Amino acid sequence: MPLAGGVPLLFLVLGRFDACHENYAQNGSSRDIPAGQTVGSVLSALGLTISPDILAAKVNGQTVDLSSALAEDAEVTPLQFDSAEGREVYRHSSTHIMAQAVKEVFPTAQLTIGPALEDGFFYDFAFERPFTPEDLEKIEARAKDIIKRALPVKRAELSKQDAIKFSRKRGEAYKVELIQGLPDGQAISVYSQGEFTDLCRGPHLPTTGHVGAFKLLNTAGAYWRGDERNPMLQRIYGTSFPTQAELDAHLARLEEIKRRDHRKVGKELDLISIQDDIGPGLVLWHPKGATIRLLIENFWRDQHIQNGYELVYSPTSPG
Amino acid sequence: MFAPMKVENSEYQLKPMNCPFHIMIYKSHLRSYRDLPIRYGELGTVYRYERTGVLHGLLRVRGFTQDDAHLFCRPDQIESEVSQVLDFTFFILGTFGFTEFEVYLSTKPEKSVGSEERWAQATSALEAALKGRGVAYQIDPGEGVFYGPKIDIKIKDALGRSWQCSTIQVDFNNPERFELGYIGEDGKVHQPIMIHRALMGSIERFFGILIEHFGGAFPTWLAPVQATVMSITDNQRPYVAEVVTQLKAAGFRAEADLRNEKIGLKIREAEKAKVPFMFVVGDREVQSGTLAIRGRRGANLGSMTVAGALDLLRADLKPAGQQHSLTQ
Repeated sequence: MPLAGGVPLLFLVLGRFDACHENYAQNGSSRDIPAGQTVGSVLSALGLTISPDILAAKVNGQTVDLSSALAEDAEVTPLQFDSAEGREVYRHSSTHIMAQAVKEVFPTAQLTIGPALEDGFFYDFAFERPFTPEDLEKIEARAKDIIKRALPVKRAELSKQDAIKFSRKRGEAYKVELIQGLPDGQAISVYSQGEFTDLCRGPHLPTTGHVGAFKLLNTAGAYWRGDERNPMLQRIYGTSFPTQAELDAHLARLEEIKRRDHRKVGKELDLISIQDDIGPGLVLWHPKGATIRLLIENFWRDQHIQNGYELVYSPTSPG
Repeated sequence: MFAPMKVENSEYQLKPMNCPFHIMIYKSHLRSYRDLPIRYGELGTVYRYERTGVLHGLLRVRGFTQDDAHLFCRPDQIESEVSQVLDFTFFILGTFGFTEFEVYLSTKPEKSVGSEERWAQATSALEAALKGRGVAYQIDPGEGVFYGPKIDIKIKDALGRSWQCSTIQVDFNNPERFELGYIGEDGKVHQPIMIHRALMGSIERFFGILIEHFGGAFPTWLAPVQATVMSITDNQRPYVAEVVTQLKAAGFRAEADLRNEKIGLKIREAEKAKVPFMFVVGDREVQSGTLAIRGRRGANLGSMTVAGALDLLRADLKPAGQQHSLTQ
């Protein structure tokens, strides 16, 4: 590693992160940077954190917090919402914001797990009853307040024992169980924002204020660890976007998906039904649905014969 | 799979797959290299146990019909067979309005049967087929089935969602297990390659995807009712009946709405039922031998003769121009 005035330097290569930012991404260029600086401050020194659009960074292929230190030669790619990794960090922090809101509004709720999804996020809480639509309104309002507070998100590492002690003291029995399942001797990362702390691998946004538009969608029951012998948890789904316009477009799309749900349309147009008296997972094709099926099958058979297939029948196949 | 049942001291089972049946048909004769490829297709209904909690409408069911086919070919025919299946898949899916695809090539997993050499040969044949057809694809390393490499194709629907439908899977295992053979040019017995493939996956699931893709407004060639002919008053009953007869004779799925209801209500109901064309008949139409034509989204298509209406219907059938009537 080259030394300059006794300060260790590292070799930083800025990766391409977005075609339209290429002009200031200095794509392919390299800089010597004193070691030990955070990713965020390095990017900032290069004039890149001019906006809160940069959410996290990819350092040598791994997604990290902007607050993580650069310790070795690195290829750094700033992450924005337009990348899958950037969105994952964004939604992951959003679910922490929701969890903080739930803990503030319903202090007896216990934390379990809360991952990012492709289009949003969820969090499973241990709570004595399902959350009502009124609860969701309160939680959402509180989450928006937490976003407004722009709380810095801080990472810390605890030993396994300390993490168990910490979670036990806070009455988070599920977190204790999760930590107990982790390998011994490994440092456990926790993320805090204001009074809220969650055991979490991260990475996360620099502050809660980095989230723009936020919306809770619906609730569902979910078994702890997906096992029906375990207690039923209360899951809340939500989503978040940088702007209200993007959120609105997403919600409109969700509405359209609901409007087109094949179970709903299949019933409205009298195409098919699935009835408990017949058996779950067994389809009755009503005349109109059967007409379409027959057209599909006729087309399929004609084309197969034209394309050199021989058609056969084997037991249980219908005519 | 569902538990077996005992009948006359033998165990029977609800059929979970079509493969062994096609294999036994292949095995029923001595095959020569000249006979290959042999392609057996079947809309084969199978039953598989799924937990109640994971069932979902038509997308996840317990009884379904696979649009299955098994291709038996020589190792040197894998590439040409897969190329043909790729073309065929894009044609079939394209006919249903799917034009955007994501293609994945899955390679040798950790646990597998068949020699390195066979895997390498089959995998490069699949790659060559994809490249030869100019198909953009991603590689899923180690995600192949234990019996061979495969190509999976996802379709993108009108809402931009991806659905896994088609699969093309090379199989080294079944030809070995069932001791399949063919007499080669050298007069010796060789083992054929088997390729499993489904284009739609299952008819149930594909139908579920189609319903959501079109939002129930099926294109004219698939619409269960293609045209509703409506009378404004009882005066037009004989004319409406005659028009419906003519439409049916021309191979179209037409219905008469002769109810004693307001025409506005009849139109609203046909729109709700997503019928592509509404032919409205009043006294004026009877006198002039025409039909007042409305499209699905309230479009007024003007007045036409019955012959003109037939042309309109024909022109609206699927792009390939083939009409698939129920009587075919």
